[in-house]
Amino acid sequence: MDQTQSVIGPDVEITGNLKCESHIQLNGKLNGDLTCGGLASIGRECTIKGNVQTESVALSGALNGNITARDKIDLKSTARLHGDIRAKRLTVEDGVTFIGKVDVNPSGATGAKSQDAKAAPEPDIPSKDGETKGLFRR
Amino acid sequence: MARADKNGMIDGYMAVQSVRRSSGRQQERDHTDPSEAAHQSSPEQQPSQANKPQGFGHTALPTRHQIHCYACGYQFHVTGSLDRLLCPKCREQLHTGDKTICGPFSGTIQTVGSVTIHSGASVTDSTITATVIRIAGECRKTRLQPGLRVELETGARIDSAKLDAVDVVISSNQNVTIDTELYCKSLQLMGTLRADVRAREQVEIQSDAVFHGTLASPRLVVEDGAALRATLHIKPHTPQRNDQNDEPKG
Repeated sequence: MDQTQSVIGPDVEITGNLKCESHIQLNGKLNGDLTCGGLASIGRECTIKGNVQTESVALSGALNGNITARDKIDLKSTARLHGDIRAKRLTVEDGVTFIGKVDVNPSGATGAKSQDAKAAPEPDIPSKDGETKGLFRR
Repeated sequence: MARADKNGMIDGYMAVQSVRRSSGRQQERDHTDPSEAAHQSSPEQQPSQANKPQGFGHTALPTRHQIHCYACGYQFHVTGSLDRLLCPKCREQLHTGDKTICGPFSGTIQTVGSVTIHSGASVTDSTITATVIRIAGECRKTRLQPGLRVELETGARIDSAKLDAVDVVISSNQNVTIDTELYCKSLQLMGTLRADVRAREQVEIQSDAVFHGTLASPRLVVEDGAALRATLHIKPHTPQRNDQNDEPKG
């Protein structure tokens, strides 16, 4: 399926939430949440302070927030992630910086692969003002 | 029948030639012109050659062993059998047999083969030196010195601190639970592991692997298909700077 792709250049700085239905490629700076219905490609020079909710994401830059993907999260070698992630599939390349919690279950159901694992809490919905919340309750 | 040389010996090359002659192959080892060889290998010649009976599908090679001398630490390769093995560096005669522990054991084992601690076995106050150490039982207060790696299997119980300089491998279909922290040099996970892991170098989680717990390592590689429910602290080592200034955060 041919979907349009939005491109945010490296000299663009956005303050606020960003929402798109198709693919998006970010190379600039985002202070807010990103909601994407397709593939979100976060470039090497990109910096995001906020949560990301998308179908799938390829992270090469810096992200300070949580990622929720319905399909796949791909952390490239230059990725720097501080936050929690939840997805169906995950790939991590050598060289990634990652501090946070991860919940990846290829079977699709929450906690379905491990019968004795604790049931994962529902992900927090980011508040409208862009406050970052953890996916896992403490 | 292979033709023997003047000494009555038949080597492997003669045996190969005899089999080729018996199978009816026309390409003998006579020297041919390169032009003829190119003409014979042209695609037009392939169908006619394909109709001929096949000779050898592959050549069987002897087993190649990677040996880690437990006396001097020298690593070398040996091809073939390991009946009598001398370290080429220190000239130490090395024990080559594989050892299996099925019950209580306390002592010293030195071999360039493998040591397997079966489920139900208990090893205490021991020193085990082997190329590969497989642990499915209990291993306490034991110094483990693998040449290559330590393989943890279902039911393994170990002192985590004893694996600090060791490469740990958990094969597929293995389900390992470690109650204490697991310190290791590197970890290669292909099965299921429930532990708090502290690796000094790298952690590799392959597809079909399942990991629960916490993980701290300078390097991490995760393949597509792996299942994780963990807290990760992955931070590559950065080179020291002379000015000791922190990088500005974006």
